[in-house]
Amino acid sequence: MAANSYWEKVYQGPWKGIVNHLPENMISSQESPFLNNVILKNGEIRSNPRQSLGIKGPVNDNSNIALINSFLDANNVVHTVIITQLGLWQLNPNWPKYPDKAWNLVAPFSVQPGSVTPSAYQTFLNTFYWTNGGPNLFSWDGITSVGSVTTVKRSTFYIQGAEVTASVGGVVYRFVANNFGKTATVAPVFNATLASQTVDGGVTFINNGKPIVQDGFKNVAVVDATNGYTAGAFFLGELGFRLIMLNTVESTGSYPQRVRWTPSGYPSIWDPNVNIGAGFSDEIDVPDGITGFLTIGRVGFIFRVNGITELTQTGNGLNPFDFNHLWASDRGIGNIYSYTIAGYGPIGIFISNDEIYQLSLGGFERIGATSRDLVLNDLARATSTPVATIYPYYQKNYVYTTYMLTIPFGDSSIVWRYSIEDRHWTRSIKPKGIYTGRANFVQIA
Amino acid sequence: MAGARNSLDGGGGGGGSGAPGTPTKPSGKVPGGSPGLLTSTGGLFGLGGQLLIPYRDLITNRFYIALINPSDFNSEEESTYFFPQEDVQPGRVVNVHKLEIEYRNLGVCSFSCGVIVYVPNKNPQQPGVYKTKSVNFKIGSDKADNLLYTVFANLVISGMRPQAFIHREANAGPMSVTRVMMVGNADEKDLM
Repeated sequence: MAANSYWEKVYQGPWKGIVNHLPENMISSQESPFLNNVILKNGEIRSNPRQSLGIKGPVNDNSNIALINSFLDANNVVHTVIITQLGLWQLNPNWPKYPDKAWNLVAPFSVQPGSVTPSAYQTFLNTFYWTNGGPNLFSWDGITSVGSVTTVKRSTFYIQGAEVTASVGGVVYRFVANNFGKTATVAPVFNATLASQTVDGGVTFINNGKPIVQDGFKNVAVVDATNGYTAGAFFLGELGFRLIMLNTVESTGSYPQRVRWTPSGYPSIWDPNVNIGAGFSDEIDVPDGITGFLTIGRVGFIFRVNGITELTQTGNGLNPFDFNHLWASDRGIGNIYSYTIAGYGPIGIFISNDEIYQLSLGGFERIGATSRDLVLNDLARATSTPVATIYPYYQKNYVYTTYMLTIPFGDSSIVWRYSIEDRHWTRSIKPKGIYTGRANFVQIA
Repeated sequence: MAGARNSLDGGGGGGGSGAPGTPTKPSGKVPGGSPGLLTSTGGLFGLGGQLLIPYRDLITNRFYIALINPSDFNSEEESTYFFPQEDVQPGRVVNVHKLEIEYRNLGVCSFSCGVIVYVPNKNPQQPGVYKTKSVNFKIGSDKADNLLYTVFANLVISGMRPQAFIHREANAGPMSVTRVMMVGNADEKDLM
């Protein structure tokens, strides 16, 4: 280059996000050695979308909000719900007018305060199920009130899966409605035998054992109906029309290697003695516990610390799943941060010891790439539980499929976003604030 | 667990048996249950979706459901973007005398654009220092026409490995930079 020679350098998109795989004078012009709070969609460096405080939490319940979700009930009515340490709340449609009364308490947890563990949830048969690391799986259908199971009533409609109690010779038993229908005007004699059926007008009830002690929500998962033992879990999913709990916490102890499932289409029955379609499996042939669950297509992926187990459907009602360890080594690719797994349709993302992976029908793909060390470094410094989600769009006219990973760090949050479209990472810092649950696209009107 | 339940008066809060903190129900319309046999407890029409996230605000020490609004890029936090350091000629001092910034008009926005250079020490065995020069801009207009505009920053700074950056303070308006060009002259003089 000649003395005093003119030079120019142009920087333009598509941008490749923040990187640290090379020194900052050796990276490409589309990469950045440092950025904060920008979104790189469509070749622009934009300041991030504005975050406002939005909707106040319940005014009389200033406790941790573990999740937010919307579900559609059997009447085609949408319910937007949150789980706090107090219990389950649903969004009042008049919240813009009454911001201090935005939430109505559906029911409290029977043991206060409830867990702050990010809740696993699943909508199944128009019912919202959730569990948060305690020995209970809870549910709400948006129609019936929650609370203790009540005595079966005459000439009353019950939906499939509804639970009632009935007395047989002075002994109270718990029954599950096998179908939607109306009970008879005159009570039948209920069958006291476990798993037996009783026809009551238009409803067939199945004996589900002894009533369990409860007062807050429905305890859905009675895994031992004879003794009234319940189960909850850290992870929840659905495959083959069966509700699945993983890494269970039961009345008899914790089972980090256990997978439980319901019969096809009966999410209220978990005891194989009540319906042989229910069951469980302990993955004791691998050395580590379950740290997450994803389904892609007809296959489930059970994540462990150092491995992944494929869960495929056999089509056999009595033995519905085949467990295939992709690898069962002491050290291997698994998921090490339980709540950083996120799925969206045919895509799943999880974080292993060595890399961040995207899982799809095409297999595994490394996506940490040139930003991996930065992300893993922030995760290693987390002061509380990191959580992640994938959202397809910010709103319907602003589509940008993104994996959002929030990492609590002291009194701030570090937010990593991976653009699945543009395949790059950006980083933001949110001072004086902690994200306590997964972001979710929910209905607010 | 019986059939028909709470009236549809603004979000039921069914069951719960007098739990602490149950708010008074405001009046208002909510969707009705379609079958008419079992009515829903409260609920929404499902007409408006938003990206929401559970959030604890440590300034007020209260819990919120934070709202991310993609129609407003006036972020409440500062935004920064650093471009790579440029080895125009490795080991040589160069100067930068102009920056060209191309942006999209999303509304009024204030930000700064500048250059950082490494200035070597006169004693070659001692480390040098980093120096910065930047120019403040107030761009855009109240009418966000979404068109591309170009502004220039005249600055003079000399050193090694010039590195351009843009920085916007919190709540300083919506920024959208599409291209930055750094212009200067290179020196042939050998530092050593």
